[in-house]
Amino acid sequence: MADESNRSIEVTAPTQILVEGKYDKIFFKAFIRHALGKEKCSNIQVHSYDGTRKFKKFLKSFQAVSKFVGIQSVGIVRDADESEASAFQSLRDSLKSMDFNWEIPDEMNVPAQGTPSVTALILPGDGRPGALETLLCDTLTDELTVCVDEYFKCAERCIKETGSHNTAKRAKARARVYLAAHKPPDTDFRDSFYKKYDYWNLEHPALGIVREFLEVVSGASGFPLARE
Amino acid sequence: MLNSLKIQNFRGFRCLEINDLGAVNIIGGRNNAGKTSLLEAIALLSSGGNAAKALNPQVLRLPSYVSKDILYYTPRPYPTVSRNPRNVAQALEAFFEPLFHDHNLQNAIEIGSVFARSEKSQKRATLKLSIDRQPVETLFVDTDEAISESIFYNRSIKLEFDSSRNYVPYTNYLWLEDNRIITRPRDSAKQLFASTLLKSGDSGDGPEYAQQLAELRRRKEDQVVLDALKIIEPRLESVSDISLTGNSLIVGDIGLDKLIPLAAMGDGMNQIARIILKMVSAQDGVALIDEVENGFHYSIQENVWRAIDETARRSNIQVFAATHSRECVLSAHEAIKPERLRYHRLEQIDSEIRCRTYSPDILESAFEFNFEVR
Repeated sequence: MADESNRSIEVTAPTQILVEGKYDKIFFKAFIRHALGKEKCSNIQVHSYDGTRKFKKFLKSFQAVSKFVGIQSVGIVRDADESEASAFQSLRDSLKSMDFNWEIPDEMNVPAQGTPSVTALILPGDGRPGALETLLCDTLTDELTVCVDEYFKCAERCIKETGSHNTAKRAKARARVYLAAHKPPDTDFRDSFYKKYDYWNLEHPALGIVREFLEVVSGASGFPLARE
Repeated sequence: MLNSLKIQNFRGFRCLEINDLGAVNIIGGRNNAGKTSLLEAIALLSSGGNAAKALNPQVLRLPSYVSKDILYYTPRPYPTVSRNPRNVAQALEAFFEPLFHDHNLQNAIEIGSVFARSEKSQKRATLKLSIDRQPVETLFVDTDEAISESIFYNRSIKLEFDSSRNYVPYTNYLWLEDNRIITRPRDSAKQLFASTLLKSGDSGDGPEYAQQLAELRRRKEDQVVLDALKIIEPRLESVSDISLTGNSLIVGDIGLDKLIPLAAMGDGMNQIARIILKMVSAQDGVALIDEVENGFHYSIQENVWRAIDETARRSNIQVFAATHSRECVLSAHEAIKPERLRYHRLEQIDSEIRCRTYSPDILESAFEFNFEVR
């Protein structure tokens, strides 16, 4: 991976993945490293745009700092939250409003041809509401899923609810409950991915949509996502 | 004020264009990205084709294998003597080669700019430097110094300058004689604009700084220097120039029973004095400052930038400052009004140096998203 630390980021790689938040960034970096091996990651960089509200501001800055770099392919990832269709349309609208001539993708996970080619992925996919964590929770065994759900049912009996759960936030909470049960517990994704605790099964078929997306984006840049 | 720059075949630049220059321009980039070369190019352009000002060892970095003695500009009516013509031609090329992109003398150096003295009138200027392949007639002197009647054809450097301000383009030829650069009798080209270059490692206790302070005191404009120095030393009550054992130097009063030489007050004090005094010597021109952050703790950099910006506004100076420091760029962003500030990052991409210019809003978001701005 081209940017491994908290140092300032230079945009250098032909493939750029833009994700919604810092946990998404941690996950995608780990997933790419897992898929490619550490040495093969220099052609892909992952950046967080720090939430959908800052997406356009990020894009403007990203476009300026990456001028002349020769980026071939950009993959943009965001959470569906309550509606995959609305999230995709919102992403398209944001791209359209920018004054640079990136092609706008018409379909999810299908690159819009141009320089760079632009591919969008709305998670968890398959038209479902939710977030990256929805997919991650899909990788848990049935037994663990029951345990996590039981925890919420039990806790909610003791907690006065004042509103309904947002689907994406519930998924994030479920993922953290699962992580908190480990020894050592993980409060964010750093430990589980950076320290390589085997808390998530990155080979699980539920993450196939992420792998497929990365293959599409990397393929569009001429540096396919494949181990030698 | 320069609005745009185009630099061709100079040092590391094959063709560098910068189109959105501000009143205060910060130049960033890695080592060898061309930050100092950019400052040199602007200094060259400012010469207006005046050879002594253009090829000034105080401005241009010259290779150590070339004797600095070469840069005495001796006016002669025509090329006359040459002890060893072949060596002279080689020396000329060795001297100027590092200025040319890829050390290739085939392609002329060209530095162009669009500039404006007022908002209404835009003008353009171009300075061109080339090795003239047309031979210059040179009388040959043989080793026993008897003047020979034979004529040798030497090479020369052609320095051309054209500006929409001038009536006619100006051309000068320079050539070598006895390890000296020779120009035509009257190198009368006027500077296009005043420029001053502060290189990293310049000493600040030189007499020229004391003389500059004396001139400011005469004009009752020395308060700007005192205010700037007080950023670092609030006890400072006054600064003055004095003559000690025949040397002029700057001294300050910090409330002790004697005046203290500025040189003894630390690198930061000296750096800020150098910057301000250099700047005011370039009234209505450009101030070129290399490694501007040198000697300044990050906590005072914002105030240093305020002092630089204030001096620039008072003296109508455009500033170009190179830095390696993210804190320095951030401080400038905090201290200087957005409409006056531009950040230019030089990048070597595929062996070509290019410039990305960041407007203040892009600069702000680059900081927010932790993109590299050094």
